[in-house]
Amino acid sequence: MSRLVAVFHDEAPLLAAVRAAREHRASIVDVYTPYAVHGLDEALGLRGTRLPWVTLAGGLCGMAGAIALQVWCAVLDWPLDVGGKPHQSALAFLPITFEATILLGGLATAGAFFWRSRLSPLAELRPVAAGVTDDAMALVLKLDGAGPDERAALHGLLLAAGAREIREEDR
Amino acid sequence: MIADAHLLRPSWVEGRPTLRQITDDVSRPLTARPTLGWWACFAVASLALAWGAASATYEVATGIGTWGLNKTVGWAFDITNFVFWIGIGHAGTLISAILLLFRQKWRTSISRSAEAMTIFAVMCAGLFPLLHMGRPWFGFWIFPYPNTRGPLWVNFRSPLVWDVVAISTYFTISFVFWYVGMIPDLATLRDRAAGRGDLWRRKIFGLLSLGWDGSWRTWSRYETLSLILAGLATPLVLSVHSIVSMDFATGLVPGWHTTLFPPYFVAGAIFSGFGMVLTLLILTRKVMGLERYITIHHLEAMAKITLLTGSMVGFAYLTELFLAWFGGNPYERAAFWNRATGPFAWAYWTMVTCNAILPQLLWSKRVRTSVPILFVLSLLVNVGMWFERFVIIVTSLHRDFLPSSWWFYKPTIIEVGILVGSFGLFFTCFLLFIRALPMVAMWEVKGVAAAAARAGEAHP
Repeated sequence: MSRLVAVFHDEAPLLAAVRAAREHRASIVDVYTPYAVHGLDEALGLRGTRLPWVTLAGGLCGMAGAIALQVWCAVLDWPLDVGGKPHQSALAFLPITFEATILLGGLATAGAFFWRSRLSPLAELRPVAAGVTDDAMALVLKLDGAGPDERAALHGLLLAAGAREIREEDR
Repeated sequence: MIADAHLLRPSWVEGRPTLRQITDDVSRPLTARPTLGWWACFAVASLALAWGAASATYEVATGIGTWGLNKTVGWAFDITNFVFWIGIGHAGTLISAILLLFRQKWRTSISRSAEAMTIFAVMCAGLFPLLHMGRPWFGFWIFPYPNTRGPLWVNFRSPLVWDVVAISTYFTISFVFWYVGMIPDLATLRDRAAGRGDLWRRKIFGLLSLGWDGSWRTWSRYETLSLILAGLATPLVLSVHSIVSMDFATGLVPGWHTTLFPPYFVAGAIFSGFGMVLTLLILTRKVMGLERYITIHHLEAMAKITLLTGSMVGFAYLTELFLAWFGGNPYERAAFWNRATGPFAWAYWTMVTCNAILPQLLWSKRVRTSVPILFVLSLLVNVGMWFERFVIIVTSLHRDFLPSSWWFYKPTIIEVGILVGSFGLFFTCFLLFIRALPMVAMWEVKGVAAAAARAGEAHP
């Protein structure tokens, strides 16, 4: 894929460049930043993540699993008389059910995040520009099929927004 | 007008550093040689840890008889230490999770170290129930797994089993939250370690940072993940100390059997935790030269929470006394009369002085902004909250219903050694942490600094 990488050193020019590129209907591959820049989600018009649904599903699994385990162990498999309390003492099963809900909800969400973002100890790292984890920010545009006029227009737009460095590369 | 706005919103990062400067300030101590102060602290901490390890080894090899427990006082030092350390952890979660949900910007530069404190404190806490088992190698019996004894399952109606589940969950979720929060900073450290001599550093941070490249798609999900984990950790932290309090509240012992316990314990936990955060951060900001990021405003904000939770704890003491009298139960009255005037009265009044009376000094802004006074107060809060748990446990037990069972409790040198050792473990871990990992969340501070710069441009 042929692409255009523009490097910025402040968030204001970066946001301006993102807005200009979207107005120009350029195809934005991604933006790389050292911190979560306020307002970039809106500028990029990204669809919201579905991670909360994973939390809900994980939490429900934890809840159902904890209730099933406790009822099966304490009521069905070996009903043990503890101080004359009823075997199916649902209220006493609540704390463990609550904790299991939280535990599975949290672990499922973190796991889904790692999986979806392709983060793993074996992940191959190809930094887009020097310093994007320090003080630089990079906007990457797709160039496939763009003619010389289009390239010049994109360069002009990025420079006008305040890019410090622009280069084309193939990946 | 502008001066007023400055008073209302103090700047949480001093001197408007650039992004590069923030990276440098936080990462520099990790590659520089440790200071003499660090070595001195580390020597003391590891000596304490060694003493604790020796005491624990002797106890496990010989048996629980090496402790001062008896038939009447079956819980004392160990459970006191357990509740104390769990409580310490709670401030870390409050800072990292609850203040995130409330969008409190001042949490950014202290959340990482507070969360690390949570993890080390929960590790220390977990030691005590394990050692109290006497045969810790059978500790796994507490988990419900298919076994050859029936299978005989654990009693799911017991608060002790709830406790195991709650604390394992708390440790796991806190650890995940801490680690996830660190990934962008680990990537920063990986990219800084570009020199020839940095091969191992680059490899280790490379593995730990999971190939983080700063992609916005990842950042966007990352922010959602942080909010979800914070939203889960908030009810979790309240449940953990509520369940710890139920270890006592569900027992029919005068002094324990009260519905006041869950909120009272949670407030006390956060209070004691903030005492410990203040102690640690006042020391580390000095030792690591991070006064620009952990400012006097941070200390003052923490002092305010200490004042609030300390007052809640004081109110709970009064409520307990009132209800013991108003409830009309003679055993309950006797238990509280014994606390305030009996053989452990000195412990009771130490607790009242340190937790309910002295923190009231924090109403004064001069006290809240004086680092030496804050340091002394934070140490006293730690002492007071340790004694609170000791008072609740020992004074309620040592006078049993039958006067023939009345007994006294005195810790042995082994128990004291294990307590000292837990402090050693905690401080050793913390000292290694501030040397090996970034103790200030660089990416969060960068976000706050950028927001301050934006506000500055809007109102020059």
